[in-house]
Amino acid sequence: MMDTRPLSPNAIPAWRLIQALGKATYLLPSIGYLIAGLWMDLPVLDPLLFWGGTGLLLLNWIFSVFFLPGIRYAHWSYGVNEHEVELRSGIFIRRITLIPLSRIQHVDTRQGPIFRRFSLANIMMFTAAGSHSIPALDEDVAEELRRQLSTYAQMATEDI
Amino acid sequence: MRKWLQKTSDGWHHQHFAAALSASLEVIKSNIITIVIFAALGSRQEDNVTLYLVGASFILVLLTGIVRWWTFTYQTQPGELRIKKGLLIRRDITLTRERIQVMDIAEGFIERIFGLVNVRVQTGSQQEAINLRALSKEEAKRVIQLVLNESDGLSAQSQTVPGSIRNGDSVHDPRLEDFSCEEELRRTDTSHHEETVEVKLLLSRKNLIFAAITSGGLGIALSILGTLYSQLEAVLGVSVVVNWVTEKAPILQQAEWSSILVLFILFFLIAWILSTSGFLLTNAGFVIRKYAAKLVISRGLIERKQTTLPFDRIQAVRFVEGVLRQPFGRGTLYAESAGFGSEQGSGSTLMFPILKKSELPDWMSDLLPGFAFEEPQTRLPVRALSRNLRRYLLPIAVVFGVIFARLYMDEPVRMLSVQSGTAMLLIMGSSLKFPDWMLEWAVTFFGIAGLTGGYSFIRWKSIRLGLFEKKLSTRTRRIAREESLIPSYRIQSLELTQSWLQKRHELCSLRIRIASGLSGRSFSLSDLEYSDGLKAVSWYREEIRSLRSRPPLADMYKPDSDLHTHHPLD
Repeated sequence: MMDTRPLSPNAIPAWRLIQALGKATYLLPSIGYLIAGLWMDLPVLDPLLFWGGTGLLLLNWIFSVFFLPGIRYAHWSYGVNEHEVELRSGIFIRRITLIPLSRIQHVDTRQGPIFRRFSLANIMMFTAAGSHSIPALDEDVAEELRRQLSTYAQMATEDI
Repeated sequence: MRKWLQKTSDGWHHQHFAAALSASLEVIKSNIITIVIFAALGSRQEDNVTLYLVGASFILVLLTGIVRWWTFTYQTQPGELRIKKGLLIRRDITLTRERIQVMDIAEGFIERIFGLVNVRVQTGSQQEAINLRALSKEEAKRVIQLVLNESDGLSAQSQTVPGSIRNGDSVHDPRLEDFSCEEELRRTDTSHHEETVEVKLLLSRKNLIFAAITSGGLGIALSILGTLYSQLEAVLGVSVVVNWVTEKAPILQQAEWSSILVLFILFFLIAWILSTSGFLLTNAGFVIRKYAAKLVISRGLIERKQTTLPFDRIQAVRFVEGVLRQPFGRGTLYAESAGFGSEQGSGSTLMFPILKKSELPDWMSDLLPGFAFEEPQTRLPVRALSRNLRRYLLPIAVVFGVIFARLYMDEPVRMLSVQSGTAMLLIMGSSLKFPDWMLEWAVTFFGIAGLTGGYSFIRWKSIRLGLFEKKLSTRTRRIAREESLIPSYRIQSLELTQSWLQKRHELCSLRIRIASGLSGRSFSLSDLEYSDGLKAVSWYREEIRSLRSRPPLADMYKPDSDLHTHHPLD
């Protein structure tokens, strides 16, 4: 077994922020309904359904923001050596993935606005049969890894 | 006139006018379902409107073909093919030798009449092949030779005609073989081929007919069932099943039953005839030839199609035993290749439509010795079977339990809760009195449960994994049983997953990805013993280390290579 490394610890706050914003959109209809109800007459909803649904969404939001990022972080690790990339992830479904370096065709780093704020980046590795990603690495680590993997990728493009 | 049609200035060529007809035919072919529907609807009308419409659309189709032909021009330069096409949206496509995966010669119906051929160009990035239609055989040769102008790039293609481009007459391109008897004769007369056929295997008439008859299989039957069901739904207005449930019993009249049965048999027969004749048309005259570095497969009765499969693009081979063929010990051989295969929308290429499983080793040592199948040995543990049975049977039991309970509750005699209804299901056959409908439902339930259970059992029994030196083999089953052989250096990634339910039973799933077509193909084995899964992971780790670079090409098809001696890991 290869020694694997964890993702950047910054992943947790970054994921928190992403989840906080992303999952909040699910709450928008409820909030909109409440706000709009202040001014106009809206059809009355079954209170059990409305508050039950909103409550569930709120619980989902709380779980996704406060618990999920930590759990996800704890379950993610990756390892790279001169032969292969190994990814370990998954909370409910544990996953071990082996990708030989010689099969990686090209490598990208990707960074959204939130990741940029936390100096994080995703690495996407493309093989002839799909892509794999390592989420949330420190920018410089990601860049270094991308450079390394690309070197191997260039050596490997000869053959699929 | 001809000259004017075929050549324009600056080396831009038009295709032969037959291309217009061929393109029209293509339009008709691709819209055949719409046409049939409209014809069926239109035939009910009394007046001549339909006739005019048919005439108008026919002219329109013909015009489309002509416009396509008129706007399509191509130009060849060494190592490059440029195409301009389109009327409203002009497209200028430049295909360089490096980007072209395969250039093939095919012959359509129209082309055949005029004694012309099509050149199909397949690239890695374009979904559809680009077709140069209706070229004379000489022109086709010229284009292919100029564009794929030998030396590097497409190595396997390039070896076809080394250094003989200028010498037009003596060139023999093996891709131009077997397009007509005339060509065939010429081939046997002039025995100086540039490239020799090492192995040539033909599909015998007996095997062709057997394969055609068994080509539909369960898929057809199921699709018929589907169609029939949707037809019934449309006719009756409501779902038949819903009817059954609400009316508590299959109370369909005797007469309706027999008419449905007749309809079903009729549908089945039609579909069967269609699949059989379709198979005959596409696979008659199936020939596979082995050259030094590639396989060339030609097939088809009206439209001859030829597929070139360079060895270095083959990623894996599969032997598929359909349900109708497995009892006869026969199956179909496919090759997976990077780029596009002969089967639509995938990287699969039909290598041979039907062959005996017992003869498979001989076939592979003839065609692709490096891909000799290995019997996978690792089976699933018994725990996996019980898990699968639970997984499939539980939902069925619950659904039927609920139905039973509902039906039972509706009986005026007894009022029972859902739970006791379900419980009753379990104590089926006890001293309680059951109404007649209950027996029918019980039969249905045990029928479905039996089928599902049987299916999970057969599936469980089929799934196997084999780890060998430099290769991996799997056996899986959806409906057909499928045995695959994947050289380890062709594996793109290997993934072990374990859901928390699997964790409880110490099981895991394995997924092996290879390149095939655009998006790749994966082989999945679920509910392996966890330790076997881990063994596969460490096997692959070792393989990666021992196969940093792939073995020389020669090893993959030289019979005596060390790839042939395998040691099952243990």
